[in-house]
Amino acid sequence: MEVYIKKAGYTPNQKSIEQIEFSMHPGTIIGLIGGNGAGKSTTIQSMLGVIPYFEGTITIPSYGYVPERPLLYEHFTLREHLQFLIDEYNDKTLWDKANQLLTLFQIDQRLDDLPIYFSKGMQQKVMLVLAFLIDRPLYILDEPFMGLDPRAMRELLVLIDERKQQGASFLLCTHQLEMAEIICDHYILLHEGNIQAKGTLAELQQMVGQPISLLDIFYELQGRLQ
Amino acid sequence: MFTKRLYRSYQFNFKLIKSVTDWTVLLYLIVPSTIIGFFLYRDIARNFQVLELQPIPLLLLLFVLSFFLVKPSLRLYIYDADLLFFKQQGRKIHQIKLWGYSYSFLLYNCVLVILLLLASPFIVFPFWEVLFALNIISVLHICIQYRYQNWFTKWPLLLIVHALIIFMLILPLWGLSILLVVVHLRLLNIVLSNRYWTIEVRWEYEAFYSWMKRIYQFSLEMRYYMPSKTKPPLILLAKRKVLSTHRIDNLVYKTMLRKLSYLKSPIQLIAISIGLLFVLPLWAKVVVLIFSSIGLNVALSSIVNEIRQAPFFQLMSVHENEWFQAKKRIKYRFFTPIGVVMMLLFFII
Repeated sequence: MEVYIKKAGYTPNQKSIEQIEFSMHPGTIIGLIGGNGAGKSTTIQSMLGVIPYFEGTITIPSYGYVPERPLLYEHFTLREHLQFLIDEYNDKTLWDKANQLLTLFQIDQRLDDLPIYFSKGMQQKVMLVLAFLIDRPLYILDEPFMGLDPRAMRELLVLIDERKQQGASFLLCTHQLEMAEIICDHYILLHEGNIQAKGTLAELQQMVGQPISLLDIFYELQGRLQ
Repeated sequence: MFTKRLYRSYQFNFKLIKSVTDWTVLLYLIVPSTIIGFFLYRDIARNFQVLELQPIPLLLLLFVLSFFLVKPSLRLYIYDADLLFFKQQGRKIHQIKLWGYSYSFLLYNCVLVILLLLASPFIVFPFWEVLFALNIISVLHICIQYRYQNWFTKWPLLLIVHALIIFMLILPLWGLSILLVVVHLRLLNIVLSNRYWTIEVRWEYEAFYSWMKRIYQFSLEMRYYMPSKTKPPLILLAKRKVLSTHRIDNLVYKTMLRKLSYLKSPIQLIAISIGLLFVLPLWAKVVVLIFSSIGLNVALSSIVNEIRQAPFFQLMSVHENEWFQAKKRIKYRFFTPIGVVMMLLFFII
């Protein structure tokens, strides 16, 4: 899985990100971190192929995606959302798996309701169920912990770990650096559309010259630029 | 602050109407319909024999009408962001709510008085008693809304309230006045308690965008900018039923079933075409058939294309061919029965 973004943006002559290059290996979790407007979402959109102006090469397999803001179909119930996805694979056993995930995230009682009227956390759970329903080699998670209750957060961490053990790769975009420090193997720090630093926690610590937390590393590196 | 908010609300609606009304709409639609409406009403009112109903039929008529003339919710001109200074500026919030309350009922009564005056040339009824009774029902209605959110779920309670108050029209006016004051005090107590803030903000949001919703539903392009819905529908049609084994077909059918504005335009077109088949000469019927089939084709295509634009499909991959095949099947399913009916009508008439 290779990602090389020479440049990408939303308007013809204005690049939002450039020279973003990294590779992903099976069973690893990469944390994509950076301040607001650093280019995290643009990087993800480039990988998904939904950015208007893009130059580079992206080689990724089919993926499960959790967007920053829930993308729900206004006129579909939760059951119909799941059915729509399951119909693509024509595999009836997927319903058993869906029921497990629904129970895990405690939304199994809301199957016949319209998710657009759910709370923010519940909508996020719907997105997680849809993303994890199919076993994929890659998962792209954009702020997956946003709005989740502590129990759901823990269930998600267990789920990520299970899939990781099965060989799946993750690209995790988050502002919760304490959480990223626990689960990620590699980090990519973005700043103003460029890669500021990348590597494991140990490599980043070496870069700043102190054995400090990811949050402190982020603070230290950002401080150097200002 | 209340007047500023009121001004902002009117300004929003004014700009909205201005954006969709150009001089052609004004000249060919609004001005003629106002003038025709005025003269039509005047002529009918002049020639109409005033109805003098017996008390019981009159009360029954008022009972039915009361469901249409009731004030469904309250607009208090409070916003979500008011919670930011809710504690510090409690007095201001209190004042805004009081002004909003008074203004809402003032406006409601103005509309009610106009409607009752317009009805007065046609039927004899006790004007002030009816006005007071409708006000009492409205206040009680809002009280029930506060408590149960959706009065539709408590319809027996609502039927009793409407029936009781309408039959109270036999009371003297002072009796109704006392009752009105009592129910207003009860409602004011609920309003000023601030315990139903979320509901009040939702009502404000719905009222603020009500004209926008009404106007934009006529235009497919503008529907994209419609404000988001705040409450789920009462009935969700075909909740557990699969309407087609093909997932896109199922999606389109369910969307059309749940978003009635999608169904409306093809049905309108078919109804108009059938009507024209009855009155037009043979050559014109052929033209109608051709144009109605083209129109129906365009309407169905634009509905499917609009559904395709939903952000949900950034998440779910649907192959281009899947859309194409679905469109073909849907058109076939719609066109076959409609085409047969139209052709039968064409030959029979």
